[in-house]
Amino acid sequence: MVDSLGQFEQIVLTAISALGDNAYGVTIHAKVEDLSKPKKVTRGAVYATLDRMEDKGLIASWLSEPTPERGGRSRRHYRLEKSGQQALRESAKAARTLYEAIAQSLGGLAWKPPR
Amino acid sequence: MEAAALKAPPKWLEKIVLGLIPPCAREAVAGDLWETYVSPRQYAAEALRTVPLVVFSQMRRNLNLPVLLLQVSLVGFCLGDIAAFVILPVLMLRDAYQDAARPCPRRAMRTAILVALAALAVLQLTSFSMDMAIHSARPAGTSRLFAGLMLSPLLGLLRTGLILDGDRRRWIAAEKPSAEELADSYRGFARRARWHNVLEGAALVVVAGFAFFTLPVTFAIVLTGLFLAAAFYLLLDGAPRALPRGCDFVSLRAAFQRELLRRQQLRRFLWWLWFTPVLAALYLQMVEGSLAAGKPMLTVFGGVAAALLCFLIDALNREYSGRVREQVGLLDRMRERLA
Repeated sequence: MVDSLGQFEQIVLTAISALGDNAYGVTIHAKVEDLSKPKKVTRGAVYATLDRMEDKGLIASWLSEPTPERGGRSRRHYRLEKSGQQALRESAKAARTLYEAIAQSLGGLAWKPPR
Repeated sequence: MEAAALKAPPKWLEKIVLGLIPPCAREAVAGDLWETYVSPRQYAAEALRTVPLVVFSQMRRNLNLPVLLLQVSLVGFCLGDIAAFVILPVLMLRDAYQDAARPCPRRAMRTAILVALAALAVLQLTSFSMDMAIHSARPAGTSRLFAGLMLSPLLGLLRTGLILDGDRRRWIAAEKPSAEELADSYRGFARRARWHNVLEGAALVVVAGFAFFTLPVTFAIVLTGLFLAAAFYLLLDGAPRALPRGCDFVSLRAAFQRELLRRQQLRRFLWWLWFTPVLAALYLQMVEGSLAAGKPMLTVFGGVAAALLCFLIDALNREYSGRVREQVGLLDRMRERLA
């Protein structure tokens, strides 16, 4: 049993999962902004969440080789750990249960979640 | 190439931003800011939005509540509640900005010499003003001057010893290890840590027993409780966790880094804990006792001794945490050797 995730944590984990090998600060922030539309998200909030989830062991990170387009600095890449994948699956399951409960009580919703 | 050069933030602005980002997050955050650079104004605005949250995150990550409580209690005990209240955010910020590597030897030496000179200056000035106050014909303590001058090389030697000791230890044999070699290194680290915990836990129990039977009741209860709690934690939950089964190089590395950092936080607390009775005794005997006995010079000596002791604990911690940060950084950049 893993700790339940907050909504923002779910979004960040989803972004990392979707980005695969290209998950680092800039791309994760862009993906999170995309997933959180129309809400604006600061990059600092993404870093803080990444740090927190790394401490929980949900994700792992490492530094890439330095690149000139970053002023000779490295990227910090992120990847989901097994516990992170499990936590994300449990969140999706809970979201689906919630969706079905709402749909049932309101007699159907205008949209359907993608299968 | 020219386009890339044009897209770089101005040097002065970058320098300011780099100074504001905590060292542990500097590489990645500064790189991300550079990568998304459009104009100086956008760069500065993005940095202003990003850096405070990064600082808070580093504060949270490096926060060692037991150490912080111990330090704040000591300051409150010796200097009063207001000083403790003021020192709290300073200590937390200091944690957030702790170095990502071991202190460089030159800087460490400079600090040691400065601390010794500061101690010497305080002693000399106080002794001079006392002599003036009691109209003594005796020149202001040559012996104290000599003792003060000896402090500088002594503290310098101590720092050198710590640095050389750190250089002597090699912790991972290969620069590009396989997952199995990394797992072996981790097991070695875990084994050493377990042995260390048993020895230190036993030492803590012995000292707790000694404190219980020899010290005044209130002091003995607090100290024995603290030492026993630390000993039980060390023996029951202080050892590095076993590696999860079937994990790959990246997960292994992440687990190793987490345990190294956990061990560093534990070490930091233990050093402060070991020296707490000495600091409290210094305060009670030399500062409070001498004030009551009307010997202000002894009060100053007590204060200076406490400051030097804090410098020693800090030097030990800086050296150890610097070494751990260095290892974490090496792991960050380590690549797997594939079979």
